[in-house]
Amino acid sequence: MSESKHPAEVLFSEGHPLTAALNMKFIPVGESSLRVELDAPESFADSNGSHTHSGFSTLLLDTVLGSCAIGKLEKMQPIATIKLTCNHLRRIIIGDAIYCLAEWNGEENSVSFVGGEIRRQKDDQLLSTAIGTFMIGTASRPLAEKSGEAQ
Amino acid sequence: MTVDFQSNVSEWLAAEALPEQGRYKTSFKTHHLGNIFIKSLHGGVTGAFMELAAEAITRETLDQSADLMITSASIDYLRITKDVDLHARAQIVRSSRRLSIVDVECWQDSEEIPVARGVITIKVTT
Repeated sequence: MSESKHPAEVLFSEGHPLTAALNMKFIPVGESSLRVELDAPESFADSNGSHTHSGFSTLLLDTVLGSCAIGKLEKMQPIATIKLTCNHLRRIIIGDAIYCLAEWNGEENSVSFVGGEIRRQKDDQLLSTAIGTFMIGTASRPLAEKSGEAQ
Repeated sequence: MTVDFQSNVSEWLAAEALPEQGRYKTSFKTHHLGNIFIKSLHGGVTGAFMELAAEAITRETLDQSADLMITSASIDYLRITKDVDLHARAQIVRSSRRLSIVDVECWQDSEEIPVARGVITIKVTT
């Protein structure tokens, strides 16, 4: 595992199918936050064709909030979304440079709490917000055990 | 009336409306995976599909020219998913001139064993 990469970036490596679709750039911010930058992809356009569907924002928020939770793990292990609540304030224009910023709020009883938002890069206009809770450790074996990564 | 799933996002999700009103399906694709080791669906894929289903059932009951904007989605993930098709049943709880509030439940193997449920709120502009 590369020491310079965020743990989630390793998980969402080039081999991960979602990475190919979104072309995300992971930027850790301090010890408890994660920023992910990307361009709003045409592959998630709504029926109008000029904006992404809100489902794209939900997908991105689940990805980045979950990644932020992974970044706080003491050892690499699977997580699962328990609950995700999103508010979509504005539509995202296809091709706009956006970023998703997630902030880890804490962990209790193997549940990680993370908040986050999506904003447009050029003017920081708020597009979506979310709160997510994630179960730490699932029924599957630890990721590193399966992938051969050092823990 | 059945709404056509004609958009890039529905194509990415491989989503379709089934003949029975309020029933939808997304056919499994490799890019729907979240955890590639246990081959479970990405939670965001499930969430996006639920939003699409809520939008579709609302569209079926409204003037086709109405502008629909999903303003919120609250989703509970009930069980680990696996790499098979995902089904949804959407039901409008409350519909007014300006809002549609939709319950959506998802399952894979059996409708009796839901994997996710949620409430989607849609702003309607006619």
